[in-house]
Amino acid sequence: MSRILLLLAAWLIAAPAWAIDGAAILRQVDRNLEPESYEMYRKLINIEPDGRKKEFVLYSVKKGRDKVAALFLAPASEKGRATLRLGDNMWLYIPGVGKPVRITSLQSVIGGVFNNADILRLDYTEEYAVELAKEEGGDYILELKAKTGDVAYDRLKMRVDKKTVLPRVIEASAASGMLIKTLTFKDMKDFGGGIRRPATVETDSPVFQGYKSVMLFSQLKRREVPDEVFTQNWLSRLEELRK
Amino acid sequence: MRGHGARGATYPDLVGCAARTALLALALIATHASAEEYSFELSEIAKKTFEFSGYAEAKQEALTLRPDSVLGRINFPGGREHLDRSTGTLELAGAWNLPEAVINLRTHSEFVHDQAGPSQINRIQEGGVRWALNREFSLDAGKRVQRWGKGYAWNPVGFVERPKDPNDPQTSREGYVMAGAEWVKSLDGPLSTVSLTALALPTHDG
Repeated sequence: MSRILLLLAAWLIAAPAWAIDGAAILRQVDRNLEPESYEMYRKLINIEPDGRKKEFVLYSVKKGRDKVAALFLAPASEKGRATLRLGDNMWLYIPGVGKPVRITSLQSVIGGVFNNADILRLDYTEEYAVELAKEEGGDYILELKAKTGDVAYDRLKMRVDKKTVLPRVIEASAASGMLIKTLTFKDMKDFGGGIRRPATVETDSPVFQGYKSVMLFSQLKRREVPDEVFTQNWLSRLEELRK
Repeated sequence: MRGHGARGATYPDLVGCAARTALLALALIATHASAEEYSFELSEIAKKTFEFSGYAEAKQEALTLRPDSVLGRINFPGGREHLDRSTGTLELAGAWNLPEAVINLRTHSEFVHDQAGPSQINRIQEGGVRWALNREFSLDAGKRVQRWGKGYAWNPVGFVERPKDPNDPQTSREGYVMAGAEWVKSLDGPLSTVSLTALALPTHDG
């Protein structure tokens, strides 16, 4: 009897070591997707139900936990537009129109399925807390809950590959539980500098039946830029950062 | 025993082989199409030393006027009730991107024809040089468009702007000749950004 109690006590002590640390996995997902401070280029493609496509090319820089800026390079009609995100606050600058105007995370400066929060994404750990972490086959399943009501999606269900600790699929839901969109990560690519991650993110949404948007990544690398870059004054000067 | 060559192959074998070949061809085409569908070439993001852009617009308007209104009496003293107007616009822009400076020019040409007769505008909308001394400090000189305030049709702080066209508030406007300096500094703490813009505009009486 005492032997059984001893075994039970040992199991109870050891149990926390076996538990999955969802927060640590999410932190690892963030760092495996992108360095904390980086620059990168992206092409966003909106595909309509009739097959028509519209493409946008963006140059983005991020610094620290909550500063992101993006400059439109194409199409010609959008060139020079720039967006800035500081925490939950976002602005859009349109050359020739006026001072930057505030935009919201659920709007989309490009139309399509990607919204502003997808385009100017912060680390998942910045916006979400892990409610549940479990293993399923070769994947971790993380169920995330938004830390505040200002976050674009109230809940995320993230399927993370155990080997690479990178997301395969993310389902984004509203507070009501309604699925808003599904993000699928594809095409693993070595960007150099120890960065190896999916180079394609596809998304579709039951809210936009038949529509699809794709995000392609290129030239992702670590880069530290001054804090001044992440100010409204700099939105008209982001081109100066490009080499 | 069934042979592996075509000579010894049965009809179903040949059909199966053709089907597999067709499937393989379709798969190759699909792969090629997929790769083409999502291509992202480095040439698309290369920084260009010289950039040129522009647009042309042709517009035809049929306006119904109120001759007894204040604006109607001012603009058309003869008491016009209808106006058919044709407008052609050409705007061209160019930029020369240097390591620490940008030189740019934007021109505006407009040809208007209506019952009042033809008229033409050709002007430099803006042009000059911006020199970034460092990330915090930049100098600017030339004909520049300043956009102060966020108002759509009217800005109470638009001190150095030409009035907006109330019929088209987003249309590009002509700048003023000026020299400017901008300083921006990010700080830690509750005051995160401080910026200062100083402008000098030549003025004359008469």
